[in-house]
Amino acid sequence: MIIRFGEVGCAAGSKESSEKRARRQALVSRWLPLIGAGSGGLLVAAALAGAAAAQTPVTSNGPPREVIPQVGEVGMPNFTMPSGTTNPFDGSGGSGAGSGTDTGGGDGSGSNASGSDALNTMLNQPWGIQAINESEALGINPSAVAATCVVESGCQNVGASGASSATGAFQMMPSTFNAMYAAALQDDPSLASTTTGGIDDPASQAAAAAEYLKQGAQQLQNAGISNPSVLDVRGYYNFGPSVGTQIAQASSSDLMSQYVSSSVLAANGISPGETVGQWQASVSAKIGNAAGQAVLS
Amino acid sequence: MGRMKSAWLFGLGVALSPILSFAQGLHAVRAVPGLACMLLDNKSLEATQQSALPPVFAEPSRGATRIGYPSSVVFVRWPLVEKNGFVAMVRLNGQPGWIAGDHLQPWHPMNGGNAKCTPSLMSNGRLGTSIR
Repeated sequence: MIIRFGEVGCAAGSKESSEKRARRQALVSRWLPLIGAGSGGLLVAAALAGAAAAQTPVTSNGPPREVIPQVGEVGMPNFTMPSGTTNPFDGSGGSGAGSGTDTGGGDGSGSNASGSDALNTMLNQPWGIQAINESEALGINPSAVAATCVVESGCQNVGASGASSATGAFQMMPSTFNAMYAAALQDDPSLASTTTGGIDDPASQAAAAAEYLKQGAQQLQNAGISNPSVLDVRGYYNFGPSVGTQIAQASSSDLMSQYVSSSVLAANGISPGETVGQWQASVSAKIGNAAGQAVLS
Repeated sequence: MGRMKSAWLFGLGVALSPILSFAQGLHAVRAVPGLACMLLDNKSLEATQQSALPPVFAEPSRGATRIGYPSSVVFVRWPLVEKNGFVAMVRLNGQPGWIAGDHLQPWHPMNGGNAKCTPSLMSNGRLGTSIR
């Protein structure tokens, strides 16, 4: 979409407006040198008043050329869509009445969901579209879910690593996955027909992860953060509900090791000397432009 | 020449100050009197689900309304106020509440250092922690 300036209220082409414009131009060109020469405000005011009282018709070679600047609207970045898929954020695809996002062209309801680099990565997975649909059904910005899988596994359905039992694209522990998937199912019963409910199914994990992010965002709201961002909720997802909430309100110069146990730090590759601010910066770098987006849509 | 250089530096400082203050991130503005830091018990610290946390009640009773869940650092009223096994506290949003005392332990940094925790008013206008 292109925003054009200069169109509103301009009756270009009409004879009357052309004459007016020519008169105005003549007046300006007559008095501008005086103004430019640094004449006092009184002189300028008197001159303009005199000119207004003694307007004479002037001829000109047509109306002045009208400059219409064009500014590209700031929007989401371009997606590289896998062939055969429909970008649900496009608004022009085959999804009918629009997706309801800020950027959609349809008549959607206008959620907070927006595009991001992370979303692009998740969309490249066979289950990406399904994860987006599930996120929106649960009231979560799909970019928040995408950012989570980007940080956890690069959105790859990987197995457990090291001593942790966390597994899959969203690196969920079995107990957390089971509880969150059950909660997601309660919120959106249609999940039963679109997901297997197994921890090794990325679409099921996406639903469980979206539910976990939702609880995290609500917990942070309950703690006074009115519109938690993806970065705010990242601590909750990474370190659990009590520590994650605390980190969201910690001084950025505090050490992560003062809040998080050494074993958890080591499991997440965080050095003992890393500050809260440095950790947030490194997470932001991984997440990209989704970091500042709202989690709840 | 020296004055011009100073003016340049002043202008540069004014221009960069919003960027520098942003880079500084969240920070404590001042300590909040009447509160002290305590820590949830180890089991609660390791909880991965909200439902595993001890609830915060509106009154010092298990039958009272649950108003939320605590974060790892619990801001208790200081001097300590105890009633029916519950401890008076203030949540991060400033709301007063009560938490079961047997879910709390004295605050200590997780890295075993000797830093101190101060309940603080943060640069975003909310309660938070500063550990020094």
